[in-house]
Amino acid sequence: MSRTLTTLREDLLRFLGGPTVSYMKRDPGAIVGGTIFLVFLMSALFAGVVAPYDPYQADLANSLQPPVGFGGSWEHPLGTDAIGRDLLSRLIYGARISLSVAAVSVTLAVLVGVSLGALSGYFGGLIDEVLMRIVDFWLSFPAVLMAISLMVVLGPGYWNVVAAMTLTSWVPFARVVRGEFLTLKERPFVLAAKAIGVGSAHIIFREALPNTFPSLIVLSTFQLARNIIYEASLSFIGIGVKPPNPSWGLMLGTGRQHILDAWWIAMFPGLAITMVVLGINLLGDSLRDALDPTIKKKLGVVEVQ
Amino acid sequence: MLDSDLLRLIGRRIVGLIPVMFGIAIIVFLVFSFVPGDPVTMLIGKQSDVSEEFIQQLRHKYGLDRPLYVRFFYFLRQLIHGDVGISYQFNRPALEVVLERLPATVELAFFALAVAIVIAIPAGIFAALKGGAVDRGIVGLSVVGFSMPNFWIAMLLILVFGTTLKVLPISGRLDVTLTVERVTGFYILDGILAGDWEVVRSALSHIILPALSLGIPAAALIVRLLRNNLISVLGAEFIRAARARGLRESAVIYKHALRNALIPTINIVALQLGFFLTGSFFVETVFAWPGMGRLAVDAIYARDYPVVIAAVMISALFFVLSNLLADILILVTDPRTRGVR
Repeated sequence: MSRTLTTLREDLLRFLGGPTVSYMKRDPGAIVGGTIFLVFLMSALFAGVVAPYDPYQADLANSLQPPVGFGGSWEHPLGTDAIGRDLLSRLIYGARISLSVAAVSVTLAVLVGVSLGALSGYFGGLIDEVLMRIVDFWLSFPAVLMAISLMVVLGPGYWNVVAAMTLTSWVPFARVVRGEFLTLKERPFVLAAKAIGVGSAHIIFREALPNTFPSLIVLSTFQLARNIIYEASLSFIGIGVKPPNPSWGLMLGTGRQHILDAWWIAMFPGLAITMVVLGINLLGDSLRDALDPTIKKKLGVVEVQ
Repeated sequence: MLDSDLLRLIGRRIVGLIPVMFGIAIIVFLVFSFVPGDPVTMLIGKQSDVSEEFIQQLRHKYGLDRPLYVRFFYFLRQLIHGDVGISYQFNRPALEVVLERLPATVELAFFALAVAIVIAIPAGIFAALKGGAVDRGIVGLSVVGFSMPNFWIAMLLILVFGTTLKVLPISGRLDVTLTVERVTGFYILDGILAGDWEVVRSALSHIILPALSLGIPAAALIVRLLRNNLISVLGAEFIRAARARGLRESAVIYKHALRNALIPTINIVALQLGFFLTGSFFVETVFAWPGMGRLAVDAIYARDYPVVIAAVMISALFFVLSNLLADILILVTDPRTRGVR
């Protein structure tokens, strides 16, 4: 199994290397998007080093300080919230929550979706029937409602958000992989492998799966952006990540109550969400164009999400 | 136009919705029966002088003392009669409570759609025809547009138009001093019916910001799609042929290219209606818009699950119906799809 995984990783790197990178280097969208994304990724990874204050440390003497340029000082560049916590520090730590919820849930969704999609596309039969009914059903049930219902039941919390996000985002992966496997299994190279007696596992992992990477990579970036917005939305209405965690959505939720007297509390977290989602969307667009011109057709509804 | 084949196709799609809705109902029931915390306890709250007997009576009244499978069949039977239970907060059928709030949400969805179309169609055409910097500018703006969470757009708009410029109201559907006789539940329509222009003006000024909050991300999506479609259609053979026949450029663009580029766009526009009804959970919360979404969010806090279930079911129904509408519009506008099945 570990050998299979190593070779899979090599295949993945091959897709992301060479021509893809050289295309993206010439695409201004990819450069802007990549830079934005890197800035957020770095602040998430090195939050402890970058953040000027402890994001949980209340300081009532300095509550509701405005940002620099609006009567505030460089002491708190983006101002402070109602109990005097430094907004910039909370935003930096918030990147951790946002990016990690999205990254973990998309990774899990890929694992679940790809496994089910591959089995169903390759073997067909009963698995395929059942999966397709589930997919039909999932597509007719709006993901936001599904996520809200799940969070109501599970209750707020980091891992519950991850679970709800995973459960609402594996379906597109299953659908795309299944669709590609249906055509791939008729392709000569797969038929040839079968004819010389190669096992199913080898065909699935080594022959067929690498061919779905372009679609999977692009779909993953769009799902990543979507899940960041979903996490923020759920936290915003109070059923996502628990306070006092510095989730951007939660900060927006409390900022709403101060929209009249302290606009910065809601504005900066919203700006952070928009920036990071924009960065990922720009990267996704560029990846899509770079990897495969026919990919749009394969992904179908992705643009609608 | 509407031949019998098409009607049969539409009929089959409508019948196909029944199992989908039942599936949704079953999932919703199962999900909500795992909710920790008993609604009766929530209902009684901090009152300590309630007798154990009374609690048992309440539990019995809401059927909470039966085993899960019994409650499930009970739920299914009720569902066929359009009954999803009694709201613990309002002590009335939950569906009735939700349906009362529905017009506010639907009114908002239609205005959001209008906003999206009014922004997107001209901008998409403009981007595709002008090309160059204009095109890049519009495409860039559109990516920004759908990267913004709708509830944040809502707060931006409140900040700019509500608190800084003070030109538009930021909460509710109508000035508190005004009332209108409820006929349709759509305040703007009710105002017109009553001939009360003050109500119409007030209702319109209240709906602008929420409609923009929902409409802007949708517009961003539609712009890009329309632009891409129009550019690819303009490169097609039949457009070259039309030009070669000496047609005026405006005729080539508006009669030939645009018509073809709009077909897939219509589909996406119809799908947006479904997304507005789910997106309203967040936007209605910001604007204190007394619609279904806000009702549902409040019901979540109050653990009034029958109301949450009813709101989820109604939203899902609308989502499914807007998907159906999208499919029907494609069938009607694009003759090529008719022969498929």
